[in-house]
Amino acid sequence: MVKLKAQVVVMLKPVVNDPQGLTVRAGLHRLGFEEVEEVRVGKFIEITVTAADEAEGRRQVSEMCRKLLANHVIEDVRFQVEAVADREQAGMKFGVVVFPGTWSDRDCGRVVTEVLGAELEYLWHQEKDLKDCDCIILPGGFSYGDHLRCGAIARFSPVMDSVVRFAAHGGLVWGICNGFQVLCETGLLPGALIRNDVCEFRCQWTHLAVERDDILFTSTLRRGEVIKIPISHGEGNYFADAATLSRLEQNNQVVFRYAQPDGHVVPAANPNGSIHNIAGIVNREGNVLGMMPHPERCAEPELGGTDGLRLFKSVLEAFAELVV
Amino acid sequence: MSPAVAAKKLREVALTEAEYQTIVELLGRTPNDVELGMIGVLWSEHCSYKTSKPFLRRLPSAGSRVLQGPGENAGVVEIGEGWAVAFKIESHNHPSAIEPYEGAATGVGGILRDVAAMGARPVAILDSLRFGPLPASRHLFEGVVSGIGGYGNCVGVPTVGGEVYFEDCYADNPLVNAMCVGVVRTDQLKRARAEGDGNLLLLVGADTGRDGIHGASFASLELDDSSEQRRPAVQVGNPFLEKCLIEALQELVDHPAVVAIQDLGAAGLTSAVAEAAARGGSGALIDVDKVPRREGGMTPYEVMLSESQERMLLVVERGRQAEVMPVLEKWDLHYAVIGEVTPDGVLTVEAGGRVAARLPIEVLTEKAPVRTLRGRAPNPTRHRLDLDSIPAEPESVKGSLLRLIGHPNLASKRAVFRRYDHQVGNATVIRPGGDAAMIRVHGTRLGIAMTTDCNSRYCELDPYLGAQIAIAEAARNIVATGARPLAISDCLNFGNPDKPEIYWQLEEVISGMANACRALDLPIVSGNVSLYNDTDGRSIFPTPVIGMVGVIDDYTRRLEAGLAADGDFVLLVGASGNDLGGSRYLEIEHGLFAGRPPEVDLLGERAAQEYMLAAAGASLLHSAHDVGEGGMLVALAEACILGERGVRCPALASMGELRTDALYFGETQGRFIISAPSRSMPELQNLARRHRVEIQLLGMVGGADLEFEGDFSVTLEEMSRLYYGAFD
Repeated sequence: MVKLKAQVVVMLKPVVNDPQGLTVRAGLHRLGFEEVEEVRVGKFIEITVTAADEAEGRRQVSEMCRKLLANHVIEDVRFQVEAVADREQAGMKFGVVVFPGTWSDRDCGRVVTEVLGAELEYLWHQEKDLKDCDCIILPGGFSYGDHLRCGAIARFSPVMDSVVRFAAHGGLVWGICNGFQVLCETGLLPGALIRNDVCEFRCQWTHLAVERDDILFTSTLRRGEVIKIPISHGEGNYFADAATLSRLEQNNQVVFRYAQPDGHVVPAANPNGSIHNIAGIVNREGNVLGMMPHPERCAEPELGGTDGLRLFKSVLEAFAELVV
Repeated sequence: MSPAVAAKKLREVALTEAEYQTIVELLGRTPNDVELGMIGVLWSEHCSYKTSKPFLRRLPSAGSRVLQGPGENAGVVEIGEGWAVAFKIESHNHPSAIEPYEGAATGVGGILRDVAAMGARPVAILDSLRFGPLPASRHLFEGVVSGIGGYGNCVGVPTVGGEVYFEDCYADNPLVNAMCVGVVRTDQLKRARAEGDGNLLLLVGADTGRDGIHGASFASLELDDSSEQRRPAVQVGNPFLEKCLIEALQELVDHPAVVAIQDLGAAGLTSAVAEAAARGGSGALIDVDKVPRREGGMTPYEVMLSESQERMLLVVERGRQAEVMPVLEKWDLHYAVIGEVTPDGVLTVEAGGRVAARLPIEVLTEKAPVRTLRGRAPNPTRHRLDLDSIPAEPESVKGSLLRLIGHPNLASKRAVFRRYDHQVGNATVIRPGGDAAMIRVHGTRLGIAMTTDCNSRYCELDPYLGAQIAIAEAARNIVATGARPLAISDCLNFGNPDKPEIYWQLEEVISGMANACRALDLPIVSGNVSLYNDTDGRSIFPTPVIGMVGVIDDYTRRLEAGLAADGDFVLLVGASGNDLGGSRYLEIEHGLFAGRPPEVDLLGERAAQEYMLAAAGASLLHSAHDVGEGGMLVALAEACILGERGVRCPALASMGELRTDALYFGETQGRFIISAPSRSMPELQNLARRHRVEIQLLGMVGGADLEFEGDFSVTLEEMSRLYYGAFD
């Protein structure tokens, strides 16, 4: 099925008197537009239809014109038809990768389908096919039990080969929590995530200062604003060596930093010891985002907040604009 | 067998000489070593409930919503819209005392599998924990909390509630009770009945090692110095494997070839097969050579008694195993067909082509002995309280309040629950820290409220009364969220029942529970008994932990404990009396553990709860909080702290007989702190008259202080610092 937009123009036949056109011409003349020779007023009608294909759509619109839209005794009709992107159906498709041990897959999936109303595919780690997804989410969990190092085994799953290629071609890749760890292990993002400095798992709300609003993931956010998103991890302490860190900072690759509610980035707001309070970073090209906080956990007011939904919406809206 | 050898062997399997004689009579022959071990574990207190069984029969277990009562892997109650809740609480006290991290972790793992075996998806974990005071018990506390988090966080089931208490009596016998709640479509409910001759027994999950052999009988002995040497009896958990197991089971629950699912827990394969066969009225043939092993050289005895974790038994229709295997392979799970269902009512174990054991199922299960002992009430004067010897006016109400809310037993347990993932699943609509937690059911507006409760100090002072209070309080916690209490899973933790005082406690507690269950119309659908929580002759307080679930039709109408809007009225629901016996106020301010716990008027309790449900159902309330330990003022302070709002009250005049300390800190039952907008007031008063419930206006929400005008005032900031800082 395709979605089509028809633009229908209905005009009086040239031989038919058009009092409205004559009146408008007189009006224009009085306003000083002496050069106006003729005015004919018609109707412009936009119709969106779903049809098996474009030819079928044209046939339908032609039928509409004949039966209703124009009076063929006195009116001429013409139309043009073009395919439109369906924002709900053909707009964009999210892919959520499932490793053994992943547990935020269904949470991300429900936000995509039930809250955002977008299309979703679950991508089993053993499969290489990304199923035409436009944004790949690597969700939270303990992939392979987080044995050896978080994300260390998951990066060798067949699906990750495809994800790496997808990212290299500019595809959107979004690692959340364990997904961020997988991205670092894969080398799609620099640095590593080590044990929280408090040496404890932490499940709590955090405030994040937003430092980038020029990437798709944060397109509806404003630089400098503070959003509230929960964390839930034992190893979310971001670490990078001095050279990497200065590159990250120089290139503005830090997207989120743990901050106080007023936006101040101070040690007291840092829940896990992350260097420079880093909570999320993006690659230089801006298409691979890794973050420890869980935006999918705050996409509904019933769960305590909706700032997370803004990230999902950013991706959806920015993508729709790209396509248009 | 020579008498000396026999005595040693019997000790090893924790059987008495008399029990051995019974076995010989039942079998008509002497059992071999494998058989003796198998009978030993199944006849242990942990598996057979031999001491508690006569009392447990008194507990009501039926109800219009009950789909599955005791006797299965978990109890199940219907919640509407085609959904049911499967839930169970279980102890892992003894393993946690020896190795706190793995003991607690595998406790969580075991209860998750119990719920998963019903075909349910586990959606929440709660933990009821008791330790000796800090800092002495710090290593146990740390290990247990880490173990629960380590397992639950990895497996992706949120830990949403529970309790943590510190009392001297738990110093050597910590209590670790884990509850799991799952949701299941009523038409997908599974039962662990091994039925259908020739159907296959499929062992799925972890390979079998020498873990925890005799764990069940170990749980039925007192701890002493030699317990340290029983360390091999403690299992090591693998939550990653469990996660894969749960996902695979979820894919298989509605597969018609899967006849039954049974968890392997205490007493391993022996118990799993015997119980499933007993329920199905069948027998089973097991070939231990087919059981995948982790270690070489294991004897049939060891294979049958191993308590290796993360194993499940599936009964699969003969000839259809090929339909099930792709799912198991997808999740990288090991599996093996280890035997089949037989029609003979006998459990036959083969090894190397020879019969290693052959025991009638009923010998293992229903023929297990029942013990009736003699109880004796302790000296009634031992905890006598003379209230007149205590000044009725606290030296400083404010000072007492601050000491109470900063005490580890009353303060926020945020330091604990922030170490647990309590949000995974995107269903936690009431997070830990208030009364009950609430999990929504995806695709519906249904909310499941859940809590665990027990004031074991009350139970020590008066087990009959204390048990009733545990149930009433759990129900109040559920009601405070706007949900209706539905059913109970109980975990009965006691000392050594061979002591007449402990046996008496057991009987009193169960009688009290039965009474409260009937009055509040609450069936007990699953549970567990943990006895012998004694060390060097010292027993724990009787601790009947009540796990309860309730349901609300529309979770968007739920209530939380924190004050919600400035300008709201704050009211106390329920009358107050001079109930200071066993109170936290007496303990913390006067160093007294004495008196009689508050009386429970179960009719009044029910009226107060019905009043609350009516008010919540009519959307009259903005918040509700149970009044529990620490009394009215502590509850009011919590409502302020949790809602981050102050409240201004006119000075309270103590009326009639009511003492000032009891007014603020007494622990009279059947009370709530509620807040409501002014427009609700006429209807709240009408409802109160109709339900014959007393309500008292305390003050109005607003500002940054909890203030009783002219008496005292305390800032939110100061209260929060103490309330949240008790574990720093």
